[in-house]
Amino acid sequence: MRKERIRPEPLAAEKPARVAVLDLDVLDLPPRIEQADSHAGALALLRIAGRPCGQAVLSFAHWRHDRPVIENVTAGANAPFWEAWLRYRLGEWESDDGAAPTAPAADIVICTRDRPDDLRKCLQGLMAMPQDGQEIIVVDNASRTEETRHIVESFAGVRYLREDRPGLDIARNTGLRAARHEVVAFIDDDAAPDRLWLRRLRRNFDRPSVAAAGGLTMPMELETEAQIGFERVGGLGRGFRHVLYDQTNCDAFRAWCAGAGVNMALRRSVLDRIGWFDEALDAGTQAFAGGDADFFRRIINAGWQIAYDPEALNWHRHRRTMAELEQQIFGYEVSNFAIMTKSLVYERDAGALGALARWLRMRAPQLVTLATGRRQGLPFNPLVPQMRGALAGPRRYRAAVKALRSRD
Amino acid sequence: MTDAPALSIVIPSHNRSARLLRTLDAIGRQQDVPLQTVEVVVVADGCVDDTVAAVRACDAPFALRTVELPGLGPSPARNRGAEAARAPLLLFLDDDVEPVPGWLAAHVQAHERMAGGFVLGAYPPFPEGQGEFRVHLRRWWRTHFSQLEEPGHRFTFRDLLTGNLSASRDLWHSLGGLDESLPRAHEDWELGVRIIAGNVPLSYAPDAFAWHHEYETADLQGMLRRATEEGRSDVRMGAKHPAIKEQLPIWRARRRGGWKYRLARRMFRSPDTEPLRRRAAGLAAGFGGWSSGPLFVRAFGFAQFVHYMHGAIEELRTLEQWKAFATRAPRTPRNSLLIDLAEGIEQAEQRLDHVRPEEARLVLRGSQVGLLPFEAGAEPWAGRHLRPRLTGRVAQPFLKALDENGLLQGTQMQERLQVPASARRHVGETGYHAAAAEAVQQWRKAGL
Repeated sequence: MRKERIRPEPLAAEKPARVAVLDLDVLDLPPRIEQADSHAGALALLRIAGRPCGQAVLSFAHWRHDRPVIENVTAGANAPFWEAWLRYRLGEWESDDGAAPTAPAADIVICTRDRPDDLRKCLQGLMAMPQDGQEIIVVDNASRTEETRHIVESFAGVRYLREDRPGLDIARNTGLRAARHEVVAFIDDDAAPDRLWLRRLRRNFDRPSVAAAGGLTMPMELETEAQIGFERVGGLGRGFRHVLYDQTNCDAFRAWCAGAGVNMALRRSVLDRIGWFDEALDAGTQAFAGGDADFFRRIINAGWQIAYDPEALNWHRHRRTMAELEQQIFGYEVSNFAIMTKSLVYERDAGALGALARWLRMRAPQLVTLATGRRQGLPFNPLVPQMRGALAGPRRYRAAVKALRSRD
Repeated sequence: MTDAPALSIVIPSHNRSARLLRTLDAIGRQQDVPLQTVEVVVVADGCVDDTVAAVRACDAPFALRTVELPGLGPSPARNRGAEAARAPLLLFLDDDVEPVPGWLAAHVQAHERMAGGFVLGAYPPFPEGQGEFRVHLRRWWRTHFSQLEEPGHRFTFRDLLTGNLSASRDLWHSLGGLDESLPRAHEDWELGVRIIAGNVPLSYAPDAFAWHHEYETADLQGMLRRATEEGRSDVRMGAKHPAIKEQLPIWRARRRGGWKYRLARRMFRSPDTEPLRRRAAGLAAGFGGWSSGPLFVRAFGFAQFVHYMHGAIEELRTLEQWKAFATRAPRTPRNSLLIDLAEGIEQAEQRLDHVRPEEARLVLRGSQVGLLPFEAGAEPWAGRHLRPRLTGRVAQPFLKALDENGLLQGTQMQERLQVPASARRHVGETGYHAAAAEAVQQWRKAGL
């Protein structure tokens, strides 16, 4: 979904490609990495026997051409890769047979607006997955052209739904109502799944206490400074270790640690207990984002678990321009404060004050970066849109609620 | 029914007929195990509600019988139920525990995988009800089951719970069932002590899953009453099994010399602790009323301790008795082993299985890797514990030792891998923030 723009002018000229994105199986490496000649470096997803287990950030300037590729690649690998490598060497690593899980069956919902090219790529990836009876539902959320419909019709068996009321959470709820199976997986229109993405998400629902699952999202391309910058400040990554989050180990306001709307699945039966996506949140509203984070927060608050499974992998095309990136950072913080406002004002939950205190404690030391000018490699200081977002969040959420009510 | 059943489910119950009927209904919905081979024995212990009549009126797809007792407590109830059971496989279920489909088959399959042992099923709290007290209980239960689920878990006597437990009837009777001198608390732990000491196999079956509707049956006052029973039981259990005394709160409070020690001493000296208990309970209840988080946990822990000590004092009577009870037991492992992993993992596992040491030191040539520590009341170390330990708790020193000895090969013999120091520091971490911090460091180090 396209986020609403408030500052359309670009902040910096975009530089050419520097960082390649690689998908490497350490047991089956190519004899040489061709991108080493054309790029400054690479972000590599690392797999062992097909299973995603870590990442390496590689600088080709430090590449030792006299040594095997595996030595070069692992020299930049992170700790989860080494933990997995140890398990593999000790025979504790089953290869990825991709067997269908016995867990409840799933459907897939993609909410889209005017992104035909991205959507086509996404659908191509989804169609390449093993067929376990999943239905793919595209919710066309008030696109301006008919192109989305035409693309969906070119894929046999994909269901097209039109939702004229703009808003990502409105479209998500429409998709949820249309789905038939117990589990519903969501993927963004500008993302593409790994072959076993859905099976890996689904397997977490074997556990009756799991109400939702999130997966690992890697960048599809790192071709602009904005895309690299986003990845450098954390990207959409949630790590490479499987975690079960619940209220005993995770603050509800940090439930987004378990995943995001770009790569998540829900158990439909919990909708009766925790409700639907908040239609005053996320893209298409004044609150910009946060529909997923708010939903996860309510799951945690209700005592259910959210599984984070890094083997449920998909790839996301990050925003290409710095203006979009700055807008996105602003939007995240708006939604963060929108959710706190919702919780405190509309739900009377004092826990929001704790979340606010933690936010202040985290951000206060960063204020010095305003003076020192440290920007984590970005042409703007990310703290500036964050602060603006924090200040705007409460007002914007109230406006979004009002807009929703006046429309109904 | 004249045929002898294959499986007997024993459910002790005390005045909860509605909840019990839902549990019976959930058993009736089990598939993959023919229900005509199942019998359910409901032990109505001191029931003054309609439990007996409701069970008689219940039209169940399995044989259903009741045993009536005058209110002896859960451990005599389970023993009488086990005596009445006719099948070779016994399954104990609590009346507020509601199995999900597949639960019964999972128990049966677990016994097919591992004959002659106890199988623990999962029964975490159903997420219902809000507030600090509920969250606190859920935390306890979830932690308990997630520990059992860790690969290569080393069982201790505290892992034994009887709410969703199965074993062969022969094994149950050969161990003598539950100790009825602990009628209301920790009779499960006491059985656990005997299981561990007898080297009886234990396994955990997470797919033998049931929901625990504890929000209907456990409240703050009830948990504090239970703490008193636990204090009483722990004294008796410690007297019976001195080797595990050091694992009991009553022993640890004596040793710590902190506030618990001073408070307990005062309680021994002033016989009337009722006002103190009431105030502590009131404090916990007060903190439970709003989102007080760690404050509630502390207040509740305080109230629990006060009630626990009250029960222990009723058994021990005098401070001198306590001091005599809590003298330090000799804390040395019966057998200890030194294992050089360079000899091979399989060899190391075989040695552990052969010796079953209470403690083992792991080295790799000259490098220290880690300790498999002694713990009273825990099963001795076995081969199946080793690999999960090496890839888990001691992964960091193990990687370092492999690195130092040049044993970290790639897929080919001549490839030498080296763990970057920056990655090694993060080995074994958990959580989002650790992951995010490491990713930021990776980018910085690469200088891109």
